[in-house]
Amino acid sequence: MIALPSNADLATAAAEAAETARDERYLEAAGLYGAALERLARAYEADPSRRQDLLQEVHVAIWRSLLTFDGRCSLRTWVYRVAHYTATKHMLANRRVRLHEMHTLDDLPDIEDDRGASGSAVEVDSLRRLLALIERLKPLDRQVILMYLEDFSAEAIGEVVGLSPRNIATKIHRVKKLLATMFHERNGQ
Amino acid sequence: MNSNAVWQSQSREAPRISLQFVRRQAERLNADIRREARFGYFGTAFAALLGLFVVFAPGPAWSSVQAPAAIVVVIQLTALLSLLACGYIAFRTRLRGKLQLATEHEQVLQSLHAYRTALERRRDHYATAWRWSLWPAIPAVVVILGGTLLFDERPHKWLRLSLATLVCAMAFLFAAWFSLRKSAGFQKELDALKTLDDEAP
Repeated sequence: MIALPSNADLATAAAEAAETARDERYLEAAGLYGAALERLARAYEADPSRRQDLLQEVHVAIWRSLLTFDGRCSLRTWVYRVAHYTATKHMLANRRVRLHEMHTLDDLPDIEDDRGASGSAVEVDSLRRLLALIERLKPLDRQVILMYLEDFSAEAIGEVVGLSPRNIATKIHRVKKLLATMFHERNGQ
Repeated sequence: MNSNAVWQSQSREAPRISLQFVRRQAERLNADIRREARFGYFGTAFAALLGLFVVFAPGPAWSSVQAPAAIVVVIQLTALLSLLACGYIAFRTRLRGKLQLATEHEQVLQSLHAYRTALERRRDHYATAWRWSLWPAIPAVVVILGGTLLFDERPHKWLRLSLATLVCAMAFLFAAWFSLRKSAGFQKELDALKTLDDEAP
């Protein structure tokens, strides 16, 4: 006679399957977006040792959250939501950060352009100034500019941030203008 | 020069984070939560055992206590009421813990909005916690103070009564102060959050 598995056995097997699926999804996410997550951490935390802590926090949060990932949005959207949520929480918990001194994309003071510099020095300097610009932004606008820099479409940014496409379009327009000043890009590039 | 290309060309500086490392970190966090819970359960169990002993201890255990029989009954009743109060508070606390777990999924989906909601929930919890966690203790306090007032005929009764009243009042005030201070802390964080979302939907 064949013994049928008990409910407890079935529940254990289901839990193990869910754990395995989570691990697989995490490995996929870490492989695809690991570098982007590191850049995200750099944009939220200037101090290198705290940045490493933040990056670990982000990875742990993603791994934990993936147990409830149900595929209603893409893995990329999910990963970025968790990452931004964790990074913002990290930023708010940091007493050194003064939120009232941060700006929105609209009230950000004018930025310098990079006319006069050349070669790799320009690149390093541009990156430094880009980071300085991002650090001055409030979290919501910081999310928008970071995703724009990671080549997210307006719809995808809206999906992660939770703003309407119209709001995102306005913000992206402002981001492009800021970056064009900084990098001499043509608008729309 | 393209801003996106500059941004994406940053070299990686952090060591690769392995799955084992992530699991270990998550497990460490869980272990902290479990340790706190164990501490709470141990305290509750100890208080419950002590209370049960006071309530149901046989006559010989009470024979060594130099107090009138009426006071023994008052103490037993107080212990019983305190036990019920502890049970109620433990139930409410556990219920709150379950509610928090249920919203974890929602938090991931709604990012900052959910964070704000969670802060508001915690603020409201602590703003009212001192009320709902204090009133279950009131019957026990009334019984012990009233019982002492009515049945205690040992010397220095008023001194004992005054001290007991003072201790109870201090405990109530401390609980209320602690709870309201936590609530104010969450409100402060909410005020800081308000500055984030001038344009949020």
